[in-house]
Amino acid sequence: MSRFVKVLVNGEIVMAQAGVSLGSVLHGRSPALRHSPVELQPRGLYCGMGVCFECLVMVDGRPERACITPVREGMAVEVQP
Amino acid sequence: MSDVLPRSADVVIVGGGIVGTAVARQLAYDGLSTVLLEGQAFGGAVSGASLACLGTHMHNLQELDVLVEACAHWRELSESLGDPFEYNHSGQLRFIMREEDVAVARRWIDAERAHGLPPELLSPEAVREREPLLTGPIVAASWSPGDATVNPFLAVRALLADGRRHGVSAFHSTPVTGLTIQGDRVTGVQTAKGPIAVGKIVIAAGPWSAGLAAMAGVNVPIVPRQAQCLASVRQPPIIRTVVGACESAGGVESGYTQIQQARSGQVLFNTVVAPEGTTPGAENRINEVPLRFVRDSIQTLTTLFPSLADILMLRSWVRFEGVTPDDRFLAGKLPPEGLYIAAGDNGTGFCRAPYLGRLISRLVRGVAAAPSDALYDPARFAGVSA
Repeated sequence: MSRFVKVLVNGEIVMAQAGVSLGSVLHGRSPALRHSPVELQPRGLYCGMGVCFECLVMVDGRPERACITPVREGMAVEVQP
Repeated sequence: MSDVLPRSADVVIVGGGIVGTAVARQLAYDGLSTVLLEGQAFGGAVSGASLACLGTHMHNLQELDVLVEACAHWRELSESLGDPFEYNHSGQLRFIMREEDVAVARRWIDAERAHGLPPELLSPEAVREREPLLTGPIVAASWSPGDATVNPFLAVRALLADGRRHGVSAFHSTPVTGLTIQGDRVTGVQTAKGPIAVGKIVIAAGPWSAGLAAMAGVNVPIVPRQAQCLASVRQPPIIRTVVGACESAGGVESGYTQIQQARSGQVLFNTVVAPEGTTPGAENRINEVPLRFVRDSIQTLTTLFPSLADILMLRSWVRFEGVTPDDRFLAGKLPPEGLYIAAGDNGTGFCRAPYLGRLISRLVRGVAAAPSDALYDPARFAGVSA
């Protein structure tokens, strides 16, 4: 079994270690997952355990909390700008 | 900023929600050395979880003059502080689903117009000119153009920051553990970080106020009531106004609704058909929202706004309002001498905070009361007289 999986983040290929959470992969790219809509301040993982929904992203067209979603080969992730 | 408590002050305010911060700011503006103590985080309990509607429509008619003054004060605050809390002069719609409730709305509208306010009754077509996606089966709606909302977190922070600029010493994570009383007057507060010698104490701790007053041997009739809210993921601008349920001919049992869109784009909404029973100490627990509440809220939202049926939910939260027997704040003197209270929001208290700041400052400084101040006097309840 490969130690790495290929994930698409906003159309860009990211190699991720198998078994880690999508949240950790997104955090590794940039601690700022997105920017707040009013103040345009950087927003990252907050609770990291599925409670706060700050890391909500679309995974293969469905809303998922990145912090509690394991990476899968070929998953397509859309992060709000 | 120093984390060391002052040894003494003119006034200590216990509770850093919107009421406590407004009271502290007003007292500092009026020249008193003022300390604000918050047990956890400023605005982190009742205030931050509020939908913060500032309005005059379908409230207690006795309080209309207060509400008009308070709404004007919020507008002035937004202008003078440079729009720090997302003041949104949106107006409020109260939808009516049944013909027999139109008469109820007309009674409110007539009474408010007699006070010089401009509410009116709108047809469904006229409603859609103001709220285009409100295409559900309503028979009419009342419209109160002066009503507004603010972002409650930012409002607390803005009043806190402005209070600090004018001399308020404010401390979070500083629960009050005791009130010191000598003879028949207060002389200090005790906290985990040490005591403060003070001759005047204002309890502004929402549903925790009864417990604080009990430290001075005073029973105040404020009990917690659970309320909750849902938020969608952010949407483009789709809802312009505050949308509420008109008071029904069926009375309180027929439910309460509030729907609005935050500046961030999240749609905030709640419908309470059956209030949750609340047990003593409930305000100290963090509950999940009841499933029935989720179902009722989504059903009301999608009945009124059918095109929102597919929006995604983001989160939910619970808060505990402080409820009094007659739906009005307790704001005024308590026994012993030097003890004051400003608490009992009854779920719609946010608007009144600046007024309560002025009321408490008048009492603390011993200047003449305003005519409306008597509405909130705790002495209206037996056994709570100063």
